[in-house]
Amino acid sequence: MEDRPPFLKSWNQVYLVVFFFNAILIVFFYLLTRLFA
Amino acid sequence: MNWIDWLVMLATLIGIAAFGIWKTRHINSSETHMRGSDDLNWMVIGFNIMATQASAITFLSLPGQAYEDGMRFVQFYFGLPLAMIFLSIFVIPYFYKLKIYTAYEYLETRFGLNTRVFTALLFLIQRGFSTGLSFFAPSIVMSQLLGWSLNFTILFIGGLILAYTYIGGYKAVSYTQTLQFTVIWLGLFLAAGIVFYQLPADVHFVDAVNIAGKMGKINLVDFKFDLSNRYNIWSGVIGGAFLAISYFGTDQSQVARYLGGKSLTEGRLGLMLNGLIKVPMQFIILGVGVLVFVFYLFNQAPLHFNANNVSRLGESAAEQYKVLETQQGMVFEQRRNAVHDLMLAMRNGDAQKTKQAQTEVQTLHATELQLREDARTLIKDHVPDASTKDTDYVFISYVLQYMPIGVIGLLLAMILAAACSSGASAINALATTTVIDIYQRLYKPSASDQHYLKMSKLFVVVWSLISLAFAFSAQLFDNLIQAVNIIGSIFYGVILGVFLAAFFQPKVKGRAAFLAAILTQIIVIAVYVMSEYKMDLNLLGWVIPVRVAYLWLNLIGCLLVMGIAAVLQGVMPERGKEGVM
Repeated sequence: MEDRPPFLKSWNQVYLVVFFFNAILIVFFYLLTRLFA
Repeated sequence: MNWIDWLVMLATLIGIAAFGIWKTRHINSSETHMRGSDDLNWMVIGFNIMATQASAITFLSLPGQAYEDGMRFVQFYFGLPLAMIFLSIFVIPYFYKLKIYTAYEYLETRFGLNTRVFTALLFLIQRGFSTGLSFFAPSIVMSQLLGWSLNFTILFIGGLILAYTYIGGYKAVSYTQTLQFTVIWLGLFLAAGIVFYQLPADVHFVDAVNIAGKMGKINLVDFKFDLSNRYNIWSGVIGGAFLAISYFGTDQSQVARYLGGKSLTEGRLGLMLNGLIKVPMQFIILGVGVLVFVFYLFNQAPLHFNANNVSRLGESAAEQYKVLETQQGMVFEQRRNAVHDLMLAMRNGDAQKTKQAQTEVQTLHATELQLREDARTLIKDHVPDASTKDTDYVFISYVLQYMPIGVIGLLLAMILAAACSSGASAINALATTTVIDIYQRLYKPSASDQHYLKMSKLFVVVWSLISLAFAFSAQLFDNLIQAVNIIGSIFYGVILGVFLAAFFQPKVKGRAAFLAAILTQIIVIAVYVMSEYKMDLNLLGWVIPVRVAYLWLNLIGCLLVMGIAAVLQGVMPERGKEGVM
């Protein structure tokens, strides 16, 4: 069976989504830390 | 506790177990019992992975940790998404191609039988120990709250898990975990919503976060590199990724979750789902702890959160405790007014007043912390066998005192469901590894399917009993969690090192890998013993003091296996057939 992600064109795109989602979360957390310190 | 809460709690837990048993009552093949029928979709795999990792301690300890120390623990999970991507690229494709039952089976194709059996044994020792803890640790807390005896609580959790894991094996674990995970999320959202709702009407969400920030609880990200500071972004991303790769890539209780997928695609997506949800999930759990903290700035908190300790104080000590409580009440009133001033100053954007009020709140808070410490000392003096660390009781004592009827039952069910979900994965993995990697491979390679089904069920019972025995005897050890972490650190690094050598050192063959694993295991144990007893290593006249904190043993074990294997492969002559015992 072909191994292709159902939502995006390639696995690399899926990995990028997971990576950047978490990167954005960390930036958001950092802003929260600075903003409410 | 109200009867409605008892009903909700028991109906949820027993209902989930009964559903698992009913859905899997016709299972009659060893393959389905040990690794399912390869039909799970990505969402179920993702839920099962998260339910396996979330234990009762997650829900008892984390909110309490945020209450005391803020949210910085969330950084510990920052490396997990990277680990998910790494496993998806490098590890899962191999596992799926070989259609294996256990991760250790893969090692035979690469390094031969010896390494497979050795690694499987290391896993069994380490996981067997820690599963006992996963029954014991929540039972201490729950038995005190429910008024059950400790042994009965351990038996209740263990018995529930045994019932459905025995009947339905892997499939029952998967069905129940999906429901348990749903209960966990439902409980989490309800808890977060209700804590927020119970804040005073004039305290808005932004006020709550502002106050928590001024009290140092919104310390989510720390960029300062400091080896002695356990939680900063560097240790979180690097150490967290390293730990997550070894846990999700080599621990059969996790590997089994994504091996049961319909296809490689589903397995990979399951891991990606974990990579997307894990950090926000931990953020919410810690956030609940911070909201509880803000709640207790406006409502007087118990002086000591473990009510059971307080009830064990004798008459005169109880009097002294009351005096401390009265002092705490006065400090609380002053602090509440100061917090109110702080809130208004922040709303008005008055920097000077804000600073002034913040200093006052912090001073009063420090006084309250000192009173708590005095209460702990008082308890320790009068009840010497009591454990006075009460952070694990912060959230649960709040739940019991302030949550509405019905929700209490659901939240207790959430905590016990988490205990069942992680325990059941472990028992299933222990039984499968014993049957596949030891029993079938070494003793009975060609018996009937019914025989292996019988053995799979038998080992579910055997490992449940071993775990229960550990849990019952756990009371004898002083610091159990530390003991289990030490055992984990001693074995995990070697297991990971063998797997990484298999994936990334193509020149290393079976004999070198096996010898490297054994040598490293001996060295790691020696380093641990020498560090523990403060012994020195005398190396041809050089005296080296060996002092290594046990958390580093993971890394040392992993790197040593890979290094020694490479050296041995370089100096050892090739042999015809590798890795035969």
